[in-house]
Amino acid sequence: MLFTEKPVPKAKATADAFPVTDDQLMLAYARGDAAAFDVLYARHEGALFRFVRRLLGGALAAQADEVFQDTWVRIIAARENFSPQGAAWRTWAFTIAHNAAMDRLRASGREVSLGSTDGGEDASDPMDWLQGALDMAHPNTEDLAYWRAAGQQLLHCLDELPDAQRAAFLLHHEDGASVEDLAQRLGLAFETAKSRLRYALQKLRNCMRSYLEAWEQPA
Amino acid sequence: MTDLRDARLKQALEHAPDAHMAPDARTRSAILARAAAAASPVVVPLPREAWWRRWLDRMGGAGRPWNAAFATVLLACLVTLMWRDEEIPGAKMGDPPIAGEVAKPRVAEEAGGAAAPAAAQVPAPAAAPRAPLAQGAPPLKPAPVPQQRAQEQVQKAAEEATVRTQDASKDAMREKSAPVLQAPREDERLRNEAPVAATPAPVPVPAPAAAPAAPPAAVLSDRAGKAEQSVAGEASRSSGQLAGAAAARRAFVPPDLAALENWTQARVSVDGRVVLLERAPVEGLALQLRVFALAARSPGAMQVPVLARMELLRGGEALGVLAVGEAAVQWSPRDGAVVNGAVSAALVQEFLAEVRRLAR
Repeated sequence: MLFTEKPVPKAKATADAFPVTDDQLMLAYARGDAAAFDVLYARHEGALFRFVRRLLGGALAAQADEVFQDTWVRIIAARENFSPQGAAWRTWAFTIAHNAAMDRLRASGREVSLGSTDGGEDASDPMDWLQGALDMAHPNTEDLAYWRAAGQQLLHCLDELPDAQRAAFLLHHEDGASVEDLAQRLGLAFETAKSRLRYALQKLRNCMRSYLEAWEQPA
Repeated sequence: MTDLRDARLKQALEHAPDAHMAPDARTRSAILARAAAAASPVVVPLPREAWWRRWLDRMGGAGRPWNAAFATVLLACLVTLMWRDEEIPGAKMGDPPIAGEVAKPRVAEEAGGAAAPAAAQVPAPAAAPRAPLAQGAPPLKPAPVPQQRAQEQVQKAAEEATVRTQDASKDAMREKSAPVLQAPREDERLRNEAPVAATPAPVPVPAPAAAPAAPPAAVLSDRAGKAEQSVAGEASRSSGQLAGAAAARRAFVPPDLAALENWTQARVSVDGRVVLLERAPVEGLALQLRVFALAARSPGAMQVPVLARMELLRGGEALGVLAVGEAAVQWSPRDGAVVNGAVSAALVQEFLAEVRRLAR
């Protein structure tokens, strides 16, 4: 066994201790090495959780844990079908997470329309809140608080995107998938994937206009 | 920043409030536990051998002479194909029998054809069977088929009659040396067979020549007659008058046995003396009378001088007269024709000795 010599008390802590690839870990786990799975989980726990949570959006954020768990259960069940000759493990896992989240979105019947707002505190423009808090007409883009506020705004903007466009944007920006890869994973034609991604970016830029303008205007 | 990738959005995404969020600890524990439970050593199956190789190994592999077995089967198939339309050779009828092989099958085969005429040509097949049996000869083995058994009996009777013809003189000499043994034995035999003889047979007392036509019935119904005639047949053959006896047998007249069975007294005339004897004390003599009467089959009186004469009576009424000459007898029943026949001279002498003893 590959990983029984070193116990893995906390997957997160020992994630970087193994210079093996994700594919090797998955193959080791498929052969029965449970420790390999621990390492693999530690490596990708955060990224997968974020991806699932953001894909679900704010409305289904409470189900992020459940969908996240469902994602890993699917990974465990499909361990023997994993083939390194295909996509990399990360791509394979993110595709599974995407499918799990989309299944949940379809099951919830959520319909997101552009321009809809919840009307709560979160619905207000965080830029306004940031400017008010910092009493700055043009916040410093180097400031961490600025990016946090931008991130918050971006999450709101993502919520307003259709699911398919949101998924395309997240896969392209979080997982680093190319347009070709994106089209293949979503089962779309290249041009369809490309236009879907372009629409998503266009809407997000419009939604994030104030932040992007502030970033473009030096303080 | 490209047309489809915005670094600003990516940076904002990385700094989003949920960037460092993690799943609940219980979710993590559940996932890891599930993964650990699912992790079990998977036995990678070895490449399986071909089924024929495994079968061959189980059957002994190359250690067995499969080539020889295959060649044997091939040869058997070849021979079978060669003889496919040929007639299977069987035992040939004309072949000499193998040493030690019983001749019964041939007798059985020939019984329906060649044996029947042979039986018809035998002078006195009816006189054959019982005497050698009484002397300890092994009994005939019953054949599974009645008709075959009857044919066997006819054949055997013919063979035995031929042999007995040759040994007739010897038997006569033996009987002369032990006259007492013969009479009781014949007496016992006749008593046992008396019911059979008295029972009316479905067919008349058959001639031996009739055996091929109805062998089983003829043989069975003829048994009593055979037994009674056996001694007479022996005597006639031993006297050397076989030719005359044969002619007489061809004109065989069934004797009137009623007188021989029913007499109670006998008036004996011998050597000029006449004695009246009761039957009970001389039952042995009565048996001899019966034998002599049965030997008389030719019509007419005998051509030799009378040495003794016995008149059989019942209640003072004469039933018949038996006259005994030298090697000849004459039977004159009350209601029938006179018949005569040849008998063994030794028997006659024995009879005369007994009669003379009783007449004293």
